[in-house]
Amino acid sequence: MTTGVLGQSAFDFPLGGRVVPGVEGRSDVWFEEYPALTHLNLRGNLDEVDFTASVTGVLGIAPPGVPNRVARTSDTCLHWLSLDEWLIVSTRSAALIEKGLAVSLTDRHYALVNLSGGQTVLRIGGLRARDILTSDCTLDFHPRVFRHGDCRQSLLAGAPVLIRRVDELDEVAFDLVVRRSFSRHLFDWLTDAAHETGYILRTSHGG
Amino acid sequence: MLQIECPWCGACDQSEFSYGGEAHIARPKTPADLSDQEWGDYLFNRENPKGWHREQWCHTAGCRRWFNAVRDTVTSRIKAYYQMGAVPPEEDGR
Repeated sequence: MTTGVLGQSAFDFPLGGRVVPGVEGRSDVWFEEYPALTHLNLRGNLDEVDFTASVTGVLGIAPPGVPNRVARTSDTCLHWLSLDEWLIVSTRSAALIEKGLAVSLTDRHYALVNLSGGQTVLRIGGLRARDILTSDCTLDFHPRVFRHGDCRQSLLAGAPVLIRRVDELDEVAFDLVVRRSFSRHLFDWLTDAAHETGYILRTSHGG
Repeated sequence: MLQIECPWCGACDQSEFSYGGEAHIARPKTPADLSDQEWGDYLFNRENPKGWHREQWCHTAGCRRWFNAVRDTVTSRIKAYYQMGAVPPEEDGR
């Protein structure tokens, strides 16, 4: 594994294990950080012969061609970012995925950039999670609009974020992929917005 | 709230977009042969119409793609979207 900021929390204080009750004494929102994930930006052309097959061979999933959709396995999520651009977020090691893709995409037109040290994932969940997000984001988070398997890039409290609807849980949750330089601002804003609903800071995963 | 329809992401709030000015301004093939007047026209002078305007927009906070829109500069109503390099749709009211 690479050393340095990789795998460490984006925050300079321990995030986990705090319960902050809201005005009615409840805590209807929770936050959780996933600081130790692999983030890789992949660019390539879906029309190119074998591009999809080569990526599928390494990740087990094909890059989604439909805008703002994700493809997911148990350890890896492939987010649509643009017509020729995807974000891989994975619990697998960046070096292994990079090596795998470098081999399978040899002589193809592609770009792969490791962003793991520059981004973090903040998960927001709970009964009132949608209300918190809606309070300074213009996206519609209604489940009929923000469907299973959807991801959207937008501005949340002015910060550029990639938002994914978390499908693997029974409760409402969204993953916010954010640059580390924006994460403290976003966290401060989120916890301030959740002042009324109350919130729980769960222990982060790794890091 | 002005909504702009990204050709790929659908209708999104204006705050996600950047404005790219008037569309269809081609860079002169041989800038060295132009007079100062012509070069200045290319660089600075724009139509600035009251009414329909063909302009460039970028979905900056989304898919970061450029596209063209025909917008009424008075009402901000957008009546057509088309991709970069495509032939602009017929304009009326000009």
